Amino acid sequence: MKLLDDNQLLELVQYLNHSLHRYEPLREELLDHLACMIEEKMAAGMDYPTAKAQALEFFTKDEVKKTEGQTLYFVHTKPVIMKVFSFLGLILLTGLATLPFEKAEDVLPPPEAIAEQAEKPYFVEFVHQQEPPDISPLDGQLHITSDYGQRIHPVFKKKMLHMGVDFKAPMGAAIVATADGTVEFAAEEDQYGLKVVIQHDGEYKSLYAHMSEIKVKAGEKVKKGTVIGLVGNSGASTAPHLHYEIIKEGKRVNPADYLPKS
Amino acid sequence: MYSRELVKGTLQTVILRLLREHGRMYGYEMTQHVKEVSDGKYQLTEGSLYPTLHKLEKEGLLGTERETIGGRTRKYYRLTEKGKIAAGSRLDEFRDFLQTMQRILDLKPEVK
Repeated sequence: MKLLDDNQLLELVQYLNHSLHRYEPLREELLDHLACMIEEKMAAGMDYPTAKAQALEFFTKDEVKKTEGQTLYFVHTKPVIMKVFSFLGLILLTGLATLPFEKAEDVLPPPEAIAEQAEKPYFVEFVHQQEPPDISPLDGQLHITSDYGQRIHPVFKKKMLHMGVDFKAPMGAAIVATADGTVEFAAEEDQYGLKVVIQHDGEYKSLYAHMSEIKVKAGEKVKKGTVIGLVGNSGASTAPHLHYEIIKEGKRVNPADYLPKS
Repeated sequence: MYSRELVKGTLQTVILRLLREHGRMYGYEMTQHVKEVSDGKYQLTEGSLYPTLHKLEKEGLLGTERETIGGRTRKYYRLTEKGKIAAGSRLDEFRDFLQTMQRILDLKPEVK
């Protein structure tokens, strides 16, 4: 069956955007649904304008709006009580979790100071275990297109905290582990697409997202520089790029601090 | 075509059963399949289908995966382990329900 081209899809996206405002995840799905309807009519010999007009007659803006409202109702309102409980639980947990960590951060000297003290015998083992990621995940490349921090999300069009940095890179470029470690996660997720997480030691993890291919398996040991996957456009992504995060003691930190200074 | 109420009351069972049978499916595929099997009498509108799919996903009965088809993304659904268990128990319940309805409504097969 002949598929709709990008311009035709864009028309449909614009049509959907008139009525879809509150629940973004529905858009790609309704777009596919609408495109399928039109393609089927075209396969039966109808031309594109007629097929589109017929499909939209059935798939009215009101209907789209109703679908969105109903989905929101199902997805958000039902488990309100659960949400309240989990929210309280989260507050409690983060409260408990951050207390000792913040203290630890206050007490611990900055990484440079640790390195300076590395000669001291009681620090040797500590430094050996805590070696953080320190190379570019894209083999020397350092072209960052989106920094860590608040930004308007390119897909969801909302102000959100960007938990990592984005590297502009061609489709299929090799992604390497930025420190020795063990693959903790290697699979597909909705937002992150094909994603790999590497546990480096008790303290650091690195996360690589939107890949086109994963080259490692969960549980596998990797060396700094091992190719773990290829750059792609999977998940909530608009163009091939690598989204890279550093997680220190469960908290996202700015990966720019763990890249070689150019 | 069956009434909205009947479709609404059976939709979850239908989705779970479809996915148990076919492994993974996307929304449009489900509507077409059901339409075909029911000779057009059971019509799923996107207005009822997608909210229910998202609900089942949220409840952890369905997992999703995405594929790029031409210039767009296609979202496939499949049963999770929890979903497989639910599919079994819903079908059992429905079978039981049908028998009960037969007795309540005193339905007898039509004599031709």
